[in-house]
Amino acid sequence: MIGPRLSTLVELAVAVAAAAALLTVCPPGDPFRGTLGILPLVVAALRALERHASSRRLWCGEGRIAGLVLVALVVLTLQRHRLGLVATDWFLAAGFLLLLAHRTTRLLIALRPSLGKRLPRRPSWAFFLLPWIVYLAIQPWSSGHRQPDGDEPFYLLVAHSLSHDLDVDLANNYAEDDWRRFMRRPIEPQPGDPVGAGGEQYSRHSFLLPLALAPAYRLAGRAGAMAVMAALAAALAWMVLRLARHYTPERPGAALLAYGLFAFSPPLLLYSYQVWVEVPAALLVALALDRLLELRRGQEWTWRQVAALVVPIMLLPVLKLRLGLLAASLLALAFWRIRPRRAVMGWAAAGLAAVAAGLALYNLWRFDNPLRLYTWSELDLLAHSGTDYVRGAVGIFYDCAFGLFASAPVWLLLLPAVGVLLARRSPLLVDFLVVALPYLILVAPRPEWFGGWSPPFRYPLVFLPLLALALVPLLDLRSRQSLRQLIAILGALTLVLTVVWVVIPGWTYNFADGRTLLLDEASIRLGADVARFFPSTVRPRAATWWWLATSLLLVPLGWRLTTARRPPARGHPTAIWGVSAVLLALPLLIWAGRQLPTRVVHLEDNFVGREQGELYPPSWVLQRPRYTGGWALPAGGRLTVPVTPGGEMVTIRLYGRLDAEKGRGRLWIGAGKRRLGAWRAGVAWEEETLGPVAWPAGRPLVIRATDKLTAPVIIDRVELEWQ
Amino acid sequence: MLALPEPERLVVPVAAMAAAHAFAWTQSDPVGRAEAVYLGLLSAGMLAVIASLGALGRQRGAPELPATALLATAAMWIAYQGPSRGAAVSLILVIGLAASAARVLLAPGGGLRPELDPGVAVALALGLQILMRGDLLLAPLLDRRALVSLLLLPLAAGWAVSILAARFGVGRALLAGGLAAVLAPGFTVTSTLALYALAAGALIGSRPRHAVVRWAPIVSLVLLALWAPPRGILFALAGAGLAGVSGVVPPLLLVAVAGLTMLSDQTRVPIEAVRSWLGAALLVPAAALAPAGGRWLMRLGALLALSAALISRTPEAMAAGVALAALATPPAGATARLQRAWCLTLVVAVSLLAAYPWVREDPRGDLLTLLGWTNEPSAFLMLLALIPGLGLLFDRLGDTLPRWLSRPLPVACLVLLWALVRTVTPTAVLVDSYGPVVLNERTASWQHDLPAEAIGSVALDSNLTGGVALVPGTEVAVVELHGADGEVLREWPLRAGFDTAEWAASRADLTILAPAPWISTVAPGGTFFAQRFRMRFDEEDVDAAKIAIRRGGDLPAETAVVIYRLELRQ
Repeated sequence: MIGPRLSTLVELAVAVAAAAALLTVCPPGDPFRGTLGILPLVVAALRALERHASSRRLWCGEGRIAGLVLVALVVLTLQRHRLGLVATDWFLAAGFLLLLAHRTTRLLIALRPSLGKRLPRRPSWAFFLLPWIVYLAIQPWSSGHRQPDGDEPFYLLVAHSLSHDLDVDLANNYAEDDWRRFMRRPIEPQPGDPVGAGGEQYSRHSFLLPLALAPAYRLAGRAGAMAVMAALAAALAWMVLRLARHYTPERPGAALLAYGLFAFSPPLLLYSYQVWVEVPAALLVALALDRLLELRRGQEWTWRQVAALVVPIMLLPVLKLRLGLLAASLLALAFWRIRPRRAVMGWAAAGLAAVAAGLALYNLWRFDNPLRLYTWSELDLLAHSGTDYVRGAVGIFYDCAFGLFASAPVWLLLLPAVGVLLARRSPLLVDFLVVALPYLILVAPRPEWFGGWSPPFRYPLVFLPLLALALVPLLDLRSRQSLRQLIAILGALTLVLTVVWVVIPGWTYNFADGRTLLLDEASIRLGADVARFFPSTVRPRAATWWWLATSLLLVPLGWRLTTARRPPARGHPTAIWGVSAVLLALPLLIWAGRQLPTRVVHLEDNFVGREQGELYPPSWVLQRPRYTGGWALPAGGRLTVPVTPGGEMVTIRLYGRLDAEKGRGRLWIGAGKRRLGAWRAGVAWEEETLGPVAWPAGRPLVIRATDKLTAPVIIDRVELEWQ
Repeated sequence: MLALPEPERLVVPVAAMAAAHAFAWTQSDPVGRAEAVYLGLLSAGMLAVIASLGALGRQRGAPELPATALLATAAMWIAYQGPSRGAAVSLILVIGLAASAARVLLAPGGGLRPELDPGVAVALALGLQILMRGDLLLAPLLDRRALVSLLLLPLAAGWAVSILAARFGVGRALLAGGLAAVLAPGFTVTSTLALYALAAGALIGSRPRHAVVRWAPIVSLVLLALWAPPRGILFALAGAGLAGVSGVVPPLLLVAVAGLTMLSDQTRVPIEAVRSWLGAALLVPAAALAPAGGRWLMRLGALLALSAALISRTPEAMAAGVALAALATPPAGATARLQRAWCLTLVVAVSLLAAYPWVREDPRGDLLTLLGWTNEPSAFLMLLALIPGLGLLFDRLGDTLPRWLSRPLPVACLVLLWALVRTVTPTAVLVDSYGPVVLNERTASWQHDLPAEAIGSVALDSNLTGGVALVPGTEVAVVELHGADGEVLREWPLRAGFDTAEWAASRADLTILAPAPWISTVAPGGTFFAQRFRMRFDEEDVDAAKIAIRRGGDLPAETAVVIYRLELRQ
């Protein structure tokens, strides 16, 4: 007989041997090589965790089936060419991911007893290891299928410079193409990056995150840096359980569920394999909040306790300047909640002021601007209209491309959760408002409130742990049937979307054009514009407000009205109803896409048939949402729009202009081959109205540029008013 | 009996079907539309089976049904039409069925439950039939023969297995049923009758008190023998073997089988029959270690299978022999566990390879090829060493080995994995089905530069359009490997009827010579499978610089050669 420790060691040795064997068998260049290489280690690690959680025995039959499915997937992956499987890589990757999700769920259930009846001060390390293993397991695939993008390559380049040159001068790194160490697409200094007197090239990005990544980067390159990012994300997940003991100490089961949603669903899951400051920032916020909540009013403090509170707060502005506002909010919350002695308060404020002054001086020296690339006018809250605030605030949650609910619909549970918090007068609400509101007020009205070129929910990710904690009181009522059904529906959608986001990581990077890559694909595949039924605040439309109103009213109301007083029978098949509802919604979506009349068409949308022309302005123009975008149609070009008529007569309004200071030319407008009218475009944005004219059913709207057009016509949109 | 799922469970297959049909409605391409309808039907059928298993398991909260429905529908909506979509959906359905069956069959502490509900056996048989006989779901669906094959045969087979389970235990009965399904593949009239005969024999052997139950099996065995001699007689003799006979009867039965074989018209030469018999015997190698009471059953089974192999060309004729041998396997111990694992591997692999989009004619043979066991004798010897050999070793040494080493299943799995993995070779794909090469009168040739590595083999998936009238053996294309100076290093002809064939070769009104299909897709209209055929050219390492494919010069103008996939292996 051998003990569990030796057993773990033996399994680890077998796993290393299996990993080596799989790496030998899988040829270089195979997209699954990394995944197969890490797979045995992940299995061994999960088994070790299972042993740790053995107080609640996993159903061994299920474990065996999972093992068989894993073997089958490995065989299919290795033998896919011999089986004649074409383009199945995504599905095989999805299979591995689903299996991982299954084992993770089982492990979470098995780990529940370790939390006891009251949440412990220090949750088991398994709650850190489990997400870390999961994040590491998905990294080879997701990193292999997506180049570092947005700010990521610049952080990695600074980490490279720090680890190899021990400086932050990137001039030599750009010259020697050091970006090749972690990506294939070349990068160059961004506009506005400071240049030193001796030709030194600096990055606008702070060096604090690269500094944390540098040692691991030196050891294992990009993979090392990614492992550190995954560890930071896992630590953040662990902190959620730790924080939960301050607000809901008697609800370990619900806290575990909230932890699971937070750690293993988007957006954190998507950020776990990317290099963004938001994850470490959220970790610093959580650390500070945890310290802050632990200290009592009137209590004697040690300097160590003060440092544990103040250091994370002070690191926030160093990590990213805009996070300074969060630091100030946290400090304000600390003063308000615990009313420290005047001396302590003074030292803390002075510390933060010193950090701010230091940063300002550094920025002044390097960027000739204490705010780096920002301007003071950007801090003028009155410079923005109320619409800007509403658009950003709604978009952060509802936008189909960048919002929290679109990335993982299960977060819609926040709507009834807020109701529960209000009913219980939870202190979490006040803490959230004090910490997050000033930051939100700063971020929401920005033209790029969505975070620029990034995955969804970038800026607000820093207070996502607080949102997860807000779910705990609601999830504590999970025995109620209506809540179970809500979780089943939202969970089913979230599962499918999570698989899509992880397997096709590029689809989380959407253009700010009111659509998403997924919806574009669906529109093309279904032959109908289905994107118009989803909310967008980048391009506000009726659906935006319908979704907002419906969800705000129906989700809490439906939950409240159908709440059963007695819990459902054990094993009630709520998941079946949830999945059935999702499946039946799909035909409804198609029906709506095909039957509801076309009213507004943006001509840059992918479901529009386009012959010639180009997107205006191009995709990579800085702050593109500031522009009125459209499709630039040159002479001889043609646009074909599938139209679902809403009546026999229609009035057509076109918005557009010539893409030149002077020029002339006409657009031919028709229904199929039948001419409806013509439009002579001017140099300024203008509206042209045609009709009302009779619309022949079944014909597409055709816009054709005549050959005599001297400059392209930019057409923003067409509105169709049916009678 | 087969429990009807609760209403909420029935909603799931209906919803999945609705989602599939709605998706099909949006497809402008008739192939995409037909495939979506077919996959919707396949999903709905399998989901109904999973729902039924869930109802029988009385585990209302089990996640298999919603998870399978959600994932299968998501795969259908997300994937592009063609083999990859079919493969993803089939894989999800197979896993869903396996998980659902395991939940019903396995006891919570591990091991099989002691009893087999007839409903569970029927539902499982129905699920296997839907997967393995996917052609039955093609239009017209309400064809009488198709309905009988789809519903009645699995019903009878499942019932027969549940009767066998009452006497021989759940493990051996499932082995018998599973292996009978693997032979054809699926449940045909022949394999179902074989199971039925065994069940009748088992009923007789159980000495029922009620007169009807006592006499009905005897009468049915006699009728079976009279209805379809000589196969029916063989099946009746197999049934008689289970009727609790003793004394001189068993040797007499063996003599009867041997005599019948000699008197019948043998359609096969002995060497061919022995190969076929070996192919069936390797399904149940554990029978070599049959316990004392079952040895003669094993001998009878082996003789019956050999006899069936001699007098019939259809492999399912050996079902009675194979099932009898399965019932003679050890009921417990390492050998039994290994045999069950092998049977599970066979059932899952054959279900997949027989399912859409593979629809292979000989999925058993394809599995052995994947394992690198390219001929029956070598496979038989390998499995003898692996199952009874390893089983015997572990049964004898089990107590002396440390606990973590005393499990035969991981060892056998590792051997199988090794067999699968060692056949993996680096592969470069030059053409895939999303950009097929069409060689017609206008574009008569295609060429591509090759990577620097030496080439070990070339695999080509193709079919013909407008080639119905071609004489078998017509050279429709030539594949050439060129050296750096343009010289032809190797060339292989692609012949109609042998290496490739018309895409619609399986259409009922066409009688065209065609090789075994490699990949199938649903044809427009959804009434038959369009087929692609694989030809593999093996060579010793060739250092070629270019590959070229030329269309045959004498082909009619309307004939085109479509290359869907071109692989180079080192």
